[in-house]
Amino acid sequence: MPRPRFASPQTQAALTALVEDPAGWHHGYALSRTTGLASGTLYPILRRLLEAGLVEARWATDDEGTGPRRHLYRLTAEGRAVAVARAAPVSPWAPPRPAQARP
Amino acid sequence: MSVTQRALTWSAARLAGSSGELVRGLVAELSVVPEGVERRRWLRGGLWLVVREAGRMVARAAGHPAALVVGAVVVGLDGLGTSDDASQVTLAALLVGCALLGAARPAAAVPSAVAVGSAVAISQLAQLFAAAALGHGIAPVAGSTGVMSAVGLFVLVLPALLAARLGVAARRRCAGRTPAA
Repeated sequence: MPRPRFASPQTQAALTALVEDPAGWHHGYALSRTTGLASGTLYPILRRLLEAGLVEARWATDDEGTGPRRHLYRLTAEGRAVAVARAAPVSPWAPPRPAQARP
Repeated sequence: MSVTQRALTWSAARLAGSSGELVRGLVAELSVVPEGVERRRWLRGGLWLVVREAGRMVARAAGHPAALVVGAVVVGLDGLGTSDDASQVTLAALLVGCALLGAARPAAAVPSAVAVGSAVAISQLAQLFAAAALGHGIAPVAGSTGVMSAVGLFVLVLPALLAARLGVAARRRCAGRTPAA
């Protein structure tokens, strides 16, 4: 049986991170931090999502006050639908959360 | 700026289309990636991304019908030629073919040249491994039919790149001479 597209845990982690703020624009480094994915894994995923029309990208304009111009990514309407349908509740690639201090 | 960062910035400027855009986006993030282990990981990932994207471009260029024809002609001449001049004829076909590919599709000149230049080496390696799989043995040392000899044929990428660049230059020169309509 063929594997459904965008079903890998890494892609699901990226979709989950993007859908947390579905209308907002996300930076690559912030996505990498949220998902725990290395840049060499995250960016090919973003390219596939861009090619499939699930994500759109743009360069931050100078008046957005983000310092040097950075590339931003956001889910499209189709991407939001796919992300909501496929998003994993907890990403297995996310960095471990700091342990709670015991009383 | 580290050597890795320089290499990444240099590659990002040379990769075309969406691949280049993606790598430039990764490089732009360096303004916020903290120094140290984190930054080194980010740069390593960037280099891996460049290798992947360059591979995709070469694979896409190799799949173009014109590149397939040139590659097939070069491999065919290399395999069928029996005269003393067979190698020179193969090299001439490679040079002319890559120059034509460069002139026809300047944006894909480099990946096309890499694809065509690698064709003979890949074909010989495939034959060697097929022979080994069929139980005919394989010569792992340098020699006329050995793996090292086949790997050495990747050097043909260099003249292929040069020819493609000349093709691109020739096209630009011709375009510059064309009178405006």
